[in-house]
Amino acid sequence: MLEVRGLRKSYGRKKNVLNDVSFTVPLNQLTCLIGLNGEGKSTILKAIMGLVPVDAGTIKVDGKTIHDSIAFVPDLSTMPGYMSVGEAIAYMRDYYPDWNQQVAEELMGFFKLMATDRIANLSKGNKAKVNLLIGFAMNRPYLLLDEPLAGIDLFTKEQIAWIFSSHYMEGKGILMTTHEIAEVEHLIDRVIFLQNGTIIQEDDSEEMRELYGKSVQDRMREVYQT
Amino acid sequence: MRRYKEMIIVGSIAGVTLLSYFGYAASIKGSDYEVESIRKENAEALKKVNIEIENGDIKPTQYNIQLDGQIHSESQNYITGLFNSYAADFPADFYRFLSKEDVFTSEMGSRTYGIEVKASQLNYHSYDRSTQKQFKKTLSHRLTVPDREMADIRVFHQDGMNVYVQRDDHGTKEKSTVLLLNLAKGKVEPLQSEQLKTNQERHYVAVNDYGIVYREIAYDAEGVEKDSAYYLDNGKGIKRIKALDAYAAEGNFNAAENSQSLIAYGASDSEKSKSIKWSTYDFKTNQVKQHKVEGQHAYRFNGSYTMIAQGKLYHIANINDSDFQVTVVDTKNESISYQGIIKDKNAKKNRLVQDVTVSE
Amino acid sequence: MKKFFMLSNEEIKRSFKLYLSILTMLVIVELTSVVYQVLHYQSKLEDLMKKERLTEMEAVDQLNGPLTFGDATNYFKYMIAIGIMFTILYAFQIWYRDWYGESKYIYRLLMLPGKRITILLSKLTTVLVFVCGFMGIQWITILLSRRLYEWLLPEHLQATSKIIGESAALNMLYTFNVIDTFVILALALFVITMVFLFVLTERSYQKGKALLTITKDVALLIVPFIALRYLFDLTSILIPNQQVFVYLSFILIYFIYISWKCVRLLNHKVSI
Repeated sequence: MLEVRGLRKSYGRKKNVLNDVSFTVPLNQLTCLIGLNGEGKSTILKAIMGLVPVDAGTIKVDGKTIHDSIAFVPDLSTMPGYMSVGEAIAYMRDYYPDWNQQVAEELMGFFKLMATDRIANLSKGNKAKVNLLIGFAMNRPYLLLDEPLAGIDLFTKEQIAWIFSSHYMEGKGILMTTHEIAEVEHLIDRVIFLQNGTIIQEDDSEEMRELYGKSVQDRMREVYQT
Repeated sequence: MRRYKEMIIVGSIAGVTLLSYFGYAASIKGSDYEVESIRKENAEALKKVNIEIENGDIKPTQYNIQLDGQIHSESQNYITGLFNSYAADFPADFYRFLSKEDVFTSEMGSRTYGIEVKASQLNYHSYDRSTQKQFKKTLSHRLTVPDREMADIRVFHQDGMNVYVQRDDHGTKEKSTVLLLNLAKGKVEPLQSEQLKTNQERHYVAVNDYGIVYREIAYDAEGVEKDSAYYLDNGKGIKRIKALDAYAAEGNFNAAENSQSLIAYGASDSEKSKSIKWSTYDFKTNQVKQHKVEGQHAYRFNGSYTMIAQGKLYHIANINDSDFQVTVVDTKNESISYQGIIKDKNAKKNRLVQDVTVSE
Repeated sequence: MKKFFMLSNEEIKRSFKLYLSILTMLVIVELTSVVYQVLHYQSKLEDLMKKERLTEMEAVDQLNGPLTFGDATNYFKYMIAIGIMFTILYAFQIWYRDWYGESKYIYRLLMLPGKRITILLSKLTTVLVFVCGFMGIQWITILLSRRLYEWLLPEHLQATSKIIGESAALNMLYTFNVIDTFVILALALFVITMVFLFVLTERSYQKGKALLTITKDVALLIVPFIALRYLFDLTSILIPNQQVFVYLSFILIYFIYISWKCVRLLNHKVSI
């Protein structure tokens, strides 16, 4: 279980970005962190990964250190542009002893990426695929995905969405932020609504649908319009 | 290896090229000195003479050579350079005294003097580098306190416990005063005070039974030296020492050890000579006498180092590009008490004599 | 250790072509400048001999003597200045390219397993290795220039001098004392660490606070130094050698402080 407790962050005295954020991400479930732009979704993911310092809060992962247990897939390319896909994979393999080369090669084939393709020359969608490939091949129990479906074509979205329902998800706890609720509605196990840096609702998605008689997307509209 | 290809290439460029530099530096041979004595009368005295030689080119090194054959070399680098200030050898309390704002500092031979003039007392502190001894004394006086910016005080002559000091006060009126600091009695006695013209400068040289000796320089409107002469003030009148007129422009005469005569080391007639010359002026006969001794080897006048201390003349000069001839002359007997060659087995050029110290 | 070597190689790899290009350019410019100086001198000599009907010796006299190696390498000091400037700019760029490059490589770096100090050390090592390369290549260029100078210029028009000539800049860098080379590299390390501190501070705080923090850190270097100087001048409480020891100790302590601060900022404060 990935547990986030009491996360607080502000920029100066005026802007509180995160107000006492607490939630859990269980294994074998896909948890979706939902909120409008600027609510602090990406900040939470970055804070969990130590990419952004926080004022207060704890992050625990079954008693292990964070880097050993979580892979982060950000919404932008993080490998140097001069590298090829093959070189990026080799780079990651060198640093991560648990690297799963079979998964990397399978996903490279699935996404139709060539090892010699230079990252700088890839389209946005293909860069997203490389990010995802790296995230899964890191072979960590928890995966944080920041807007994996943002700004990419429909076909690529479908490919990525397929991954979320495949065997690659087995034994993993996923925390995902996305605006593309409709694309992944059927896959979401848990929903967390974030507003003004505060968690306003955290529920099992099925229970939420039964309780409100609405889809998660409609419920989201309701929450953020009021 | 392939994985680290770029690092290996860049590292190799840096490593190989720097190693080539270090290798070149290591291959540079310094001087390998030995002392070869030709004539020596007093072996004990040799231990007290230390000659400091520095190379003026790459890989700076300082060589300390004692005439008894002991040689120490120390390579100079940026770190040793930081610790090599002039005042590095001063004792702490002496340094602190000299650093005070109102202290006037001067040097004579191996001695450094500090003089502080307060309302009714004068603080005197001296340190001799060759003996590493200090002397402190507070003396009473009735002088005006000098303005640090507008005055100069320097020691020009010492005769036992009597220290003779020149004080110049600048300003609207130029005044030059000779003071006697009687260290035994703890008193300051003004001996002479004179107003000078603005284009005049006076350097006191000696005080003895005959009077006060000084050298006066007159400048023209453009500040160019137009006349200089030695004078003797015997208390009754001032007399120009005409016998020293030929030497006044150079101004090399200083008090001899016995204070009753003046001594100056002389110039060579030619670029290379075996003769080591000096001159003395005798107040009794009012005559300048030329003296010389002949060394073993002809030496080069340019770059020669001469020092007169304790009645001896220490002369060090190149006899070729790398070797030095050292001559110690007893000026009283006009004889050579020591002569030797500092020979460099590696025949390195560009070596300079930096300092000679004679300890007691 | 393996992570350190991998990261260092990655950093060097990213600037490999640029670095080699700059090295090559410096060598070419310097050697060309020597050729130019020699030919220019000879041309001036010939002009003088023709126009004023002088003998070669008289013309050499008029030109203030033969061409020294120092004169022939007169432009080297500008190349050295450019090299220093490049190094300082590179010390900034080696960080900022990870934040502002076409990809956000800083994410990847900060998430790598192991200690973040390895990132700092790999970047520091890269810059220092480049500095060593500059110094080494400059030395080789001096040797080549010497050969060129002796080959192009007739012997009677050369002024004999030590291998590096009379240039103040070259004499400061090449004293042929190994300790001095390490002193220069230590100074380079100090400056590079200061630059790293500025970058990491800017990356850790909002603009205003970052500027304030940088100002405070610079003041922490300058103010005590001036205060010590003032104290020593006023009180002469310590003799010169002791003063030097105090200054050097202060610089060492300050260096430890800025190094510690860099690590601390990288571990706890830096934000993407």
